[in-house]
Amino acid sequence: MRLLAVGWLLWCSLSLAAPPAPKATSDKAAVKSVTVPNPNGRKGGTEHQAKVKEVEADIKARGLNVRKEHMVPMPEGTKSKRFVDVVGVDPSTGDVKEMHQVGRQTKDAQPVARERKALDDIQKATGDRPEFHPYKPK
Amino acid sequence: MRERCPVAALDYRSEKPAPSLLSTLSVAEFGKTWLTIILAPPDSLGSLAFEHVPRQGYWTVDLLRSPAMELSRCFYDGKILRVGRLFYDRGFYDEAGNWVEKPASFQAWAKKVFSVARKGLQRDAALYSYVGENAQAERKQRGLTLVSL
Repeated sequence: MRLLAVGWLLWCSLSLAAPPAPKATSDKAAVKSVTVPNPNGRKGGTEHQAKVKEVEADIKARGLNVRKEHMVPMPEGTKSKRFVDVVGVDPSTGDVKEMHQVGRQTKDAQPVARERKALDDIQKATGDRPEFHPYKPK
Repeated sequence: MRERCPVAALDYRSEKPAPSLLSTLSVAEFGKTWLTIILAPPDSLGSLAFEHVPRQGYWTVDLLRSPAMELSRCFYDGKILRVGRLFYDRGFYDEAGNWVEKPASFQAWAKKVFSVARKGLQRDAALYSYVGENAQAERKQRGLTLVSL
């Protein structure tokens, strides 16, 4: 009974993460900010979402559970934490078995700089480099 | 949880595209029971979308497009306690690329679930987690390790 209580009380740990909704952009702001690096934040856009879904389906097909926006603490990084787009976890232990990052790539098929930085940070913190899945924005 | 907020708990896997309700939120057997389950407002079960996982032979709730929340329950083996989490999407992009916000009633329910879950827990900044009294006690007295990954 006690063990269950321990588990129960920790349920809402970690990210309690409802990702922020994309912010509505006022006309004024739209005029001012010509280059918004990623207006939808961690969520990405339609194409990002579609690629994430594709990765998720593959993970599920291999018998793992999917966890989106998995937080990785960065005790020594410039950012305090990073979010892996999708991880595959062991369904019965919750142990992360694989990590996947979805993002844009350069013309020579390399992740764009911000994605490379994220991959580097996550690798430094976890010892594993997420698999990168490029998508093509419209 | 259920005393303070109406919650329907669903098994992550269903044999058909319909909710497979659970009578309890507890983990039956650590190491065997799937830790992830689905929470939904009881009056929204008819609005759930399902997706098929043919290679594994099950159906599961399409969390992106459904008024539902993922609950990854903690794993415990006497030595480690791996943190769990609650997670939901507030909306999604439809096929035309338009942002679709999930119903306000669902979002209010989800916030309530988070609020109820947080009650009585202490924030642990190092773990980015909320930790309960029993877990803290086990940590201090028996050296239980809390694992955030």
